[in-house]
Amino acid sequence: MSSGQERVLRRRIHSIESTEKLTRAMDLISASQIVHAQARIRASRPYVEGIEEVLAITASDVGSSSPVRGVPEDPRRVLVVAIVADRGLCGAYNSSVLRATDRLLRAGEAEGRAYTVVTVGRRAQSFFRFHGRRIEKSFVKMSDRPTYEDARQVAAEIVGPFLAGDVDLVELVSTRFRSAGAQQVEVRQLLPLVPGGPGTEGDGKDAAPPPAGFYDFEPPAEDLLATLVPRYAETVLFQALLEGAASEHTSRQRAMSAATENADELATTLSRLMNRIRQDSITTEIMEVVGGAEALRGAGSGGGPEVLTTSSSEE
Amino acid sequence: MGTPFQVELVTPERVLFSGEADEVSLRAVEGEITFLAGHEDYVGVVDVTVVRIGVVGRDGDGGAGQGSTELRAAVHGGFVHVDGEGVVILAGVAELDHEIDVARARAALVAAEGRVGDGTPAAPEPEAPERAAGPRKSPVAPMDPDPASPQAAIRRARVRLEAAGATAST
Repeated sequence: MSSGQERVLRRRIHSIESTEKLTRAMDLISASQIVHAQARIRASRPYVEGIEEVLAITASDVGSSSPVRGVPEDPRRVLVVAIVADRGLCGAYNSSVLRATDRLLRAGEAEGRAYTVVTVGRRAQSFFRFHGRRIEKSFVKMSDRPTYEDARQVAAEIVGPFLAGDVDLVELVSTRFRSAGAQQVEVRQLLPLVPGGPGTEGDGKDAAPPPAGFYDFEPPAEDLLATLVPRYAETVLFQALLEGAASEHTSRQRAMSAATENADELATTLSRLMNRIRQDSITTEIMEVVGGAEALRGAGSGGGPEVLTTSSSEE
Repeated sequence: MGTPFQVELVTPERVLFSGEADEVSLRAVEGEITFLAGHEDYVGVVDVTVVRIGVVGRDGDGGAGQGSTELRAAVHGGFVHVDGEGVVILAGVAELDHEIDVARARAALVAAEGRVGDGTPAAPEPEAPERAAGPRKSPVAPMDPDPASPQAAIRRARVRLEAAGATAST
């Protein structure tokens, strides 16, 4: 029986060790991906800042009258974009975004809003299918290494309905990458443009945009703003995709390094246990052999005690 | 040589150019426009166009200090922002002259012209913004999931070729 147990343990240890190899490899891969993803966030920053500045200048000239700006008072039709990963094994990365989205949808529906859901990442598909929700459009294979072209495709899906007046509000649920140690799920209003975000008349944190009127706009500011809206949506989505990717890799790296550690510990514990069981079974076997021999001798002749002394000293 | 000023050509993926120049010319939607030092503050929409930057004091080929070297870039739509600090061109997609794959641009041009000839409708995405930025990796038209009409594809290919200083024929 005990040798059977030993075999079971040996198999388990073997399997844990190969899992450990996998998680360690994933850990290393994610670590290198994080560096890459962070570099891409940095590389996109000049563009993002440039677009925000242009938007701020233009919007301050147009004033608050534009329908593409403001916080809708009572949005009836809302489009939600949720950004998650294609793959799992990255800790709570996917589920925290998805749960936040689900909460948002439930809360909104209680107030009688109608939601349209657009998702990025394969993990979102199964989640919303499980919750019996229809996904308007789902993008996959872009969460790992998003390109600007990916962002453009997603933006095309949401800016169209918004400009056509089919939705009153577009919200974005994604993970912000604050630093390697801090990521955070955030729900943001994407469209209409938020007064108070970029495109404010000066109550932003960065220095108030230079007063308009000194600027020449070509085409006129209203038309320029209309051209800017889709580009701005692309930019925000691109940024969100990049930060999502960085957060995904970070979460995966953390999850995999924890898994590796765990596997290591488990393998150690189990091999100790296995060794003890093996030693026990050897001891038992020896005892059995000795006991058996003794019993035979005891039954065969009368010279028992002498032999017994010898054999026990041998042991 | 004019007074140099700061010029940046920026895409979402990277900064293509950042440095001193004495002249920048491009086609905005309202027509050709050239920026020199001291231009008034300006915000405009950039067409699919070749942007020419008169780069000052580019070290290397001797011209440092006097005169300027022309740097060309194919820009597939974007914005230009001019203020006291200089000129910033923001483009969804842009390529510098020496990065352009001339053969591929030619192939794209031929393919797009072929599509116009056939009267084949453009790829099936209706609400393509007309100055849609081309796809980053594969500008070769027919397989292109990217919307953009063949006319837009032709324009992009032409701009690429012009920026690269090549002709349409092989």
